[in-house]
Amino acid sequence: MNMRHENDDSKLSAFIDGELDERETEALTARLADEPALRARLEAMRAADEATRKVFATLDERPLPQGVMDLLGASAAAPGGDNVVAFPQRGIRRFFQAPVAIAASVALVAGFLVSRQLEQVPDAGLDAGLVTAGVVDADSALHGLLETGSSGEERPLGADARGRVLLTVADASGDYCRQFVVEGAGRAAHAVACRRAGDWELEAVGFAPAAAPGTFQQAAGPVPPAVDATVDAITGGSDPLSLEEENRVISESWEKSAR
Amino acid sequence: MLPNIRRFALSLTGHVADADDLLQSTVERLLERGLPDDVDVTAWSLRVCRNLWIDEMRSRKVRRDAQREPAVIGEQVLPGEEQVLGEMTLEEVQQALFSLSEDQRAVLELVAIEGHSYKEAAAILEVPIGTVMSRLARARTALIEKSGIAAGG
Repeated sequence: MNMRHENDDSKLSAFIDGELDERETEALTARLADEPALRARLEAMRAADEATRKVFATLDERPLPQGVMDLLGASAAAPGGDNVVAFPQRGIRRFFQAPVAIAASVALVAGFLVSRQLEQVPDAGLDAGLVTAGVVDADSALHGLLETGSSGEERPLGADARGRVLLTVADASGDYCRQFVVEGAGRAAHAVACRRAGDWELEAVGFAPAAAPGTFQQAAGPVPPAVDATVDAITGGSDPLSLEEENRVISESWEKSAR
Repeated sequence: MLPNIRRFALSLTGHVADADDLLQSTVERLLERGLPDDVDVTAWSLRVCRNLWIDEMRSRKVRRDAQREPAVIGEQVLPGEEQVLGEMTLEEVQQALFSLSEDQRAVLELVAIEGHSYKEAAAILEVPIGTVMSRLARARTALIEKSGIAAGG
């Protein structure tokens, strides 16, 4: 491999990761348009990434080691849902707290990791600065979507991702919760957030099977069971708000329901 | 976070069993010592994980031997040999991946899988950003060559 190629590889690699500056991106994309060989190399690199993801995804499907579960005082088979991770209160433990288990196609994560995982959804990353410790950043595009988006309405979140609220419900305490999906670059994150004391707090996040056998291209895909279960737990079987009710609540800035 | 640390651990160790041991030590250490204020928890945890692995390597005085054998991951969960990715089986990809150096795998895992920026990956691995960039390019090209993904030009 000569120098020119090495240099190209480095550029292509950084391009994939969104790490080229504007000028470099422009120069590279211009070349990509003209040079089929360069395009093929880029595709090969992306394929290498997908292959890597797929290999690591097989790890997620294995149960976590019992020793780790014991450390966290949890059983992998704890009741309360196969793969729902509640957001616990304090200390390092909250980042691990159980029940934790990894379902075949869903990895659920707590607290801040939600941000990592959500950011991972689009290749370019949701630069919207999504979440810290389970709370959706008030300046983020996602926050805007949750605060003012109607169910079904799709909005861009960052460069490469789109978000859509699926439904709105009130929980037993009258707090409103919204199930939503973030899609980008062939991956989808499903999540539930509840508006508590003015913040949108993430309650559960699940990922569409990015590494499902043979496919990487699903859009929203099926809703992960964990997210479904959380929604069920929140609603206690009552119906989601109608669009009309939803619009009213949005216009009243999420004044708590009297339920 | 557990899955993140675990994947990172696998990228370091190249073996599932070692990765799970390393995950366990990392969780132990984090529970024991807690977190400093104002740190990025993921980055901190991964650094702890990496440092533990480096210690482990030093104490074993064994480097790289793990990489001679392909890691056995996912055997029980893969839906079968027909699992293919382009022209390759997942098995072949796995072998290619685990024949990379630990440094290359780690950076590939952090950036391509966990979605960390180069800056974040550099902080976790405690290397300059330029090193992250060149290692990634080398990891990707090595993977293309070893696994037979059509390399184009």
